[in-house]
Amino acid sequence: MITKNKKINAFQFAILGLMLGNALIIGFGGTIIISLAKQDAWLIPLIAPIFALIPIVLLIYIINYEPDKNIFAKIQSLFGKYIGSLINIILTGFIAFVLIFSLWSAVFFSVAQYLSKVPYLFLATCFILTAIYGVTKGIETIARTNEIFFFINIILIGIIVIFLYPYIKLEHIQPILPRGIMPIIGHSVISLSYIFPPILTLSIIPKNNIIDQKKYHWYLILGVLISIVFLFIPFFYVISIVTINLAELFRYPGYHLLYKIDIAGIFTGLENFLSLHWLFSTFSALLMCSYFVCKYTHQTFKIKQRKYIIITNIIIGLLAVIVSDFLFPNSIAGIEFMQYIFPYYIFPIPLIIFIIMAILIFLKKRKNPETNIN
Amino acid sequence: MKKFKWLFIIIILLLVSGCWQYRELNDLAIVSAIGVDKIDTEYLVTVQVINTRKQSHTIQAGEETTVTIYEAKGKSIQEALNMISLECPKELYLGHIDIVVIGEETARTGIKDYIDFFLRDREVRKIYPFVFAKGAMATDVLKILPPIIILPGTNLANMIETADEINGVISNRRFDNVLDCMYKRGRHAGVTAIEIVNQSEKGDSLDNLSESKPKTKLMITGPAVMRDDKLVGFLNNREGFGYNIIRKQVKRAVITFPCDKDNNYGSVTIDSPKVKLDTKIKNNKPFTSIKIDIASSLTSYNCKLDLSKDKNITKVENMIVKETESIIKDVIYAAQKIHKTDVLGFGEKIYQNYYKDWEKIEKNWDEIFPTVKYEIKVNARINSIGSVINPAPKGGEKNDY
Repeated sequence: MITKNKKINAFQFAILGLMLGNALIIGFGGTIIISLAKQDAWLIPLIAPIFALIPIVLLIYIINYEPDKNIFAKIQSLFGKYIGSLINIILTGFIAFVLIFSLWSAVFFSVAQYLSKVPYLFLATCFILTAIYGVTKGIETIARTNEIFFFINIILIGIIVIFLYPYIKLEHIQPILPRGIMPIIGHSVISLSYIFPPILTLSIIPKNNIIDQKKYHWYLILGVLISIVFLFIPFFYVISIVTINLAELFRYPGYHLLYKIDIAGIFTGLENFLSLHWLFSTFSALLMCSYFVCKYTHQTFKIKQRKYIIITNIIIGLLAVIVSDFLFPNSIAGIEFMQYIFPYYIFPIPLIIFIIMAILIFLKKRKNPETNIN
Repeated sequence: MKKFKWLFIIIILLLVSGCWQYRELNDLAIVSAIGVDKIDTEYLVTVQVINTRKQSHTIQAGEETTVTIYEAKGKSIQEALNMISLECPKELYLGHIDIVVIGEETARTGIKDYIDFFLRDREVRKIYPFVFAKGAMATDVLKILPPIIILPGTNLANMIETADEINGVISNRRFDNVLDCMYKRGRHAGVTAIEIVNQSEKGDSLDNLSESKPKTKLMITGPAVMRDDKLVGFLNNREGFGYNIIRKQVKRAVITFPCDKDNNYGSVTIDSPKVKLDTKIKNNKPFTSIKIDIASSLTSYNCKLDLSKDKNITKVENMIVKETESIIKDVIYAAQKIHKTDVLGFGEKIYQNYYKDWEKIEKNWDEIFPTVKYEIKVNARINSIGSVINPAPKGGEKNDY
């Protein structure tokens, strides 16, 4: 039986897509994209939505299949018990990695810009325990939290857009496409590997848990596309205001951009406050990835009692903290991994799984048109 | 379970609400300015620390100064700052730096090696004015006690900011602007310069302030010109004005022009002139065109001319055009022939608009730049002639028009 706190509406589903789409880009993904696309980085959020439609449609296609089941159950039913279990482990491992990276990215940003003397482990524990608390409360709480984050983000981004507008110098974005269109198309495809991993966690939500089932897919498409277009703002502002020369120099060029905000000569030095929207987006990924991993653990080990669920969640969270500290001892290690290994060797794994799933669903549908596909 | 929940909440409250990194203001030495000089292989770092004991904003003879200067040498800036902590009772706090001054000799050897500290340090905001001390060491500049604003670092920053707003000769070149220009393709950086007027031993004591005309003063001058990361020279004030016009950095300025052959002058104030700079390849050679559109208000006119007639206003406008052209020619001459460095951004325009052409000439741009031909088109309008129409007659003279 579906309890009340398991249902979310289409708008919340779209907000989840929107927040998750920004989670990895803001922070390190943005730095990597700027180092790849350089002067033309601002064009990526305009080109990427074209390619983004493919994984979104794939995701919706899979969510629509057997609407009462989550992704683990669907994999089991499509691949059988043994192969299905193996694929579930691989997929959960991937999301666990995204969780670890999001955690590390959020904590590293906080340590670098806000709290330089606070130990990594302490901050990471604070972040993860808050996320785990949200996970324990259920998907509706996560969705509502994201809704609140979204509206706060809109206000913060609004302030940034309005008060940085006078600093825009269009000559800074020139030359446009000096090396032609092909490299930027390639970089747009690579950028999907930073946009989509957290979005894949939405597959954990069975379609029946979405209240407005008929229109949710439009909401999701819109949410993800808006999230990508949302990325246009930081990239365009960074290139046209900070300039590519400095953007390549700073670890967080977007943060450097915020130094310039001066509201009527009264409010200055707002960079710490305004940069909170990055943390909110990353925290969304933390919530959803933790939810995904915890859900897998509960389902696999058949944990049903509340106190055991809480203990398992805390253990998973603390493990993520320890592994993240161990995996990325410094920011260079993290960036190198995300730039040279993640998009080419790690991200294709879930993508291939999803493609195979879509093919199997398609074949099943052809074989038996009455298969439960809405 | 409930007990654990409360215990957890109490622990979190105790740890988080206390602010882990909390530092008492009394424990901090707030640095308002930093000066860097290179002596042999070591850096001499001078910091101006605000004297928090000094509450009053006025100084009287015999009183303590509003700032304390600390100096130390080190192989790196960080090492020198560490050495300062041996004599400073508080921890140096760099989050409120008003200005960074680099000595001329140090700037001539290149700044790349030591700006890394200012870039990397988390506390230092990268938007303070970054200036070169013309003909002086940074330490000497920071020791001068200025009139009016008693914190020397703040005084310097305010001088630059005010001049940036109302005097076209100066533009506030902040640290991030300078860095950006240093790394730009097709352009070198211009940096705000400051010099000591009448340097004397009195300059760093309160005696300097006890006179209505302080003997030793600081004055902002025309900008310094860099090639890559090295200082190569200074533009004079007139050239500095031309530089700022071309770089679209003039917010408000005064153009003074000769209006007859008897050394009489007229002046206009101008607000943010519109400038269009373009460089393209014509017959395999770069050619720059500069179009300037000036809207002005006549503020003084000391020659005989009936300004109630429109044709005479046009005559004055032509005088402004001629003077502006001359200013622009002067700065182009200084950049091309004297300093041989493209601070004006001619090359940058080729890079931005004609990237394929730029790729061909980029390597030799420093040699090509001094030979670039150019044309200047100035359009000047007088929008207002002030409260009077005709020039005030000189004593004993009657207007004969």
